[in-house]
Amino acid sequence: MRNLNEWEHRTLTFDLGTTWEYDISETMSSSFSAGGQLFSDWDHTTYGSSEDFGGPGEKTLTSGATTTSSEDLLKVVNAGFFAQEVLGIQDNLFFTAGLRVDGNSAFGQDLGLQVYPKVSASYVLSDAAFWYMDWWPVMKVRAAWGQSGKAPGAFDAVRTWNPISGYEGQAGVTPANLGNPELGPERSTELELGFEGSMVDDRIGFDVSWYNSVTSDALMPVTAAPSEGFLNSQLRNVGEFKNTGIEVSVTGVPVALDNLRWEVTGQVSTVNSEVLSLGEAPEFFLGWGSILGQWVRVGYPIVSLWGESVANPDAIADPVIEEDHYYGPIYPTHVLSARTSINLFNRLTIYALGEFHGGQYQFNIMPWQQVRRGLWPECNDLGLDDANDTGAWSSAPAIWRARCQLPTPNFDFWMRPSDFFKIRTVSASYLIPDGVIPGATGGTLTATLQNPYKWSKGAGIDPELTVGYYGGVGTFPARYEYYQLPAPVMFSVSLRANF
Amino acid sequence: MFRKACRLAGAAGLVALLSACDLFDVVNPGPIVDDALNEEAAGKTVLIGVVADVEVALDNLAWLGGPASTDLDADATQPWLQDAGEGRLTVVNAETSWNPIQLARWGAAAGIARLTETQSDAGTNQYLTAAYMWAGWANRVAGDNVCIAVFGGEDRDGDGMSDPGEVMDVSAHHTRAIERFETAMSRAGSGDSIAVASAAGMAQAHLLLGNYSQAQSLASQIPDDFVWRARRSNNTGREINSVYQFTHEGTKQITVWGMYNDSIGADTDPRVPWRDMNQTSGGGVKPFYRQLKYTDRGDDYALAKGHEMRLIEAEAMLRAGDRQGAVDRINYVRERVGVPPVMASTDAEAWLALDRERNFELWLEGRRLQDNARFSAEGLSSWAVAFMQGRHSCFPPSLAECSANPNVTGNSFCSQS
Repeated sequence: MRNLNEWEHRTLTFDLGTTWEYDISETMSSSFSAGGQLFSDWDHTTYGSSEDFGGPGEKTLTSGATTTSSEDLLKVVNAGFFAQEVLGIQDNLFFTAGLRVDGNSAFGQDLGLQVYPKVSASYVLSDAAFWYMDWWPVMKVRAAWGQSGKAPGAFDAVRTWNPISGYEGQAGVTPANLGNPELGPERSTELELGFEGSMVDDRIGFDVSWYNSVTSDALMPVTAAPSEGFLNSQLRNVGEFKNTGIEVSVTGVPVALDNLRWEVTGQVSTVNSEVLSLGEAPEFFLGWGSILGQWVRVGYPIVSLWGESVANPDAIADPVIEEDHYYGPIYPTHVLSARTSINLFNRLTIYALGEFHGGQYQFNIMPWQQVRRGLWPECNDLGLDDANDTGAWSSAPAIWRARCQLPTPNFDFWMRPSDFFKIRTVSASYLIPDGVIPGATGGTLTATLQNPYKWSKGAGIDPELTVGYYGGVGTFPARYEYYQLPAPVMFSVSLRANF
Repeated sequence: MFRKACRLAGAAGLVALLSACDLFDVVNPGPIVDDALNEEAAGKTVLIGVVADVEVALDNLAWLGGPASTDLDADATQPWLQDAGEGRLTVVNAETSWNPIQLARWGAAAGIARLTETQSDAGTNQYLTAAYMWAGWANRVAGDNVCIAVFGGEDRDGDGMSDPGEVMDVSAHHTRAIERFETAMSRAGSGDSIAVASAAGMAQAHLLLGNYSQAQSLASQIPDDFVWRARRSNNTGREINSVYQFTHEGTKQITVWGMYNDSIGADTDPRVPWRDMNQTSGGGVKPFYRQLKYTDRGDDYALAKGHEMRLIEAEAMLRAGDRQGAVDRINYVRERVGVPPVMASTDAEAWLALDRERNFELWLEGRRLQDNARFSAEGLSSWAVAFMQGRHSCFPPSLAECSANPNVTGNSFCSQS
């Protein structure tokens, strides 16, 4: 088989802005900005495939007995303009008010331009007269409120049919997009409060934010009833959802000597999402079909995992099945990362980065597969790989009787927490002095170990192997640990020299 | 100040200039906008789409209906396919069965409506005639496989908007199939192949509605050699015979192993060919016995055959108490195929022989789930009764239907698990 796939992407960006700054008085300044942007994206994809070649020699698309081809062309134009005024008072209190007007080629005729306002204020506390802490020289507080929007796709509003090939290659059509002439952009309103600063000669730095974002008229792919002829989800402006969270970043330098410097940075971010309303739309699922158990339901995170569960997991008894059980969100609710670097003699730098994702639940299809084959260690360790081992089955907890059920377990019981911790990178880098490499003015020798360690709740290969089921899952993660390889543990050494 | 004003004026002028050219024009070819099909010249395109969607739906039901019925067993890497093999027909695996046939059923109805509006010779238009027949096939195929009928996308309250379909007994599909076939037959005229095919489709639908004498009468009009096909092709992935693909390519997750056709041997009947591949099936548990009825991506499915018509006649005779007449019809088919005749000294033996003969004739054509269900429910075939123990007899509405259609939400079939 020979495949040729060409993708051509053109982006035309037009950005014009101007700022007019002037002092209103000795203590008050003004900065007025206005401008506009235009983004035009053009994607052209052509695909050709050919197979069943008649003989040896170089294969071309035309030399195969069976050829197929396809072509897609999509152009999307976003354009907008803005105006913003920043008012400064005594150079430490700043007020900002702005307005942004956006248009999108998919907005439809009735929608016109969308207006998104914003206001914010910041105050450099450490510049105030009452600030007397010399060891804490920088402290700033800030608050911001603003709106932003997201446009639907180019074809989402209209009813469309896909061209297909029918009998003997004749042209036909099949239902594609149900369409929604009332479709509009979604609008997010976000309030953010935060502070940042540094102290002890910049040995400690911090940045803390809290945010609350409410998205109204949220664009969501709502499941359509197949009996109405269209199998694809219908993009609709449905209800509201919110995201609330904090982001904290702290950087410290515990040791700062002439020949030894040690830096540590820790970051924590939390996200708590909730569907506040779905308007008139029914609850709906996402991803490839319903097997993923990923639903959008009022009062629960966006997106949440649902399925059958065992109500008496630890009991030495037959499982009591609970229908439609809420497992949890599919996205992490908290992410922690830490990185550290140690520099010795201004030559050698040792660096490490680790990351923890927690709070998310995912299904894992791999155990389901291996249980059927009697090859899943968690079941085998309990003796549950033998359907006739009555002793093992009668002494096993209910959850394992359910998960290991033979010949085929219920897939839902393999929905589990998917917390994980990974050390992403450990590296050592050495600055090579001038003259060591003939003709070079220095260089760097770096040894890097990637993905050296991982831990995750529940057995499996890698909780980040989450690509889609038949490619249809897209942005909705599901643990799918076969037909693909995990990120490898990789050791590399590089030498860079400057000539 | 003057300089800034000049800059702003220049920017405004530039934007105006860009607006004057085609920068803001967005013309996206690709998906076809609905209105574009309201041209008379689009009639053939509409019909080809109708036909192709019915063929795709049948393709899905032929391969998924295989492990769901006595046709095949599953040894799958996908839970929903394994469920089908073990007789669990749920809202999940219904997405591969319910959804495509709903699209095809709606598409055929929409095609009829559009062609009626757009074709100036609608009274005699051949595309419209064919669309009626394919709407008949869509409903017959749906009626053979799904648990309930839901006719969505129709404006029942007259407000100009399509309404969610209400739950109806599945027999509504067969009733509607007969209506569509009748229209196609009357438009086509006697002797036309569409008329013959429509008569065959009506015979099938009447049989499942219990109108045995009408089924027999219609079946008798169909020649022995007649075959009406759902076309498959190697042209595109959408047109491939999926039974072939799932047994000759990829992960080979459906197998003849353990089924009746395995028990009788590989070379007993030319209508049910298979081969022991000395391999394990895709799921890694069961031996892989490959079906050889379809040996190419482009092999067609039969929608109706003369031989099936003889078996419809046999069933009507058997139900009317003419056991010997029924056995004769069965053996008439067997003689034509080149296999030995069967004997039946009791009605139970005759029903078993008929069940097995339909297995041979209709194997891997998306037909046997309904046969298994009705022969079991009526206690007619001991084979069907034994096979259907603990198994579901039809595909329920998919979770998409159950969750998005308020008339279906809460239906008992939505919790079939």
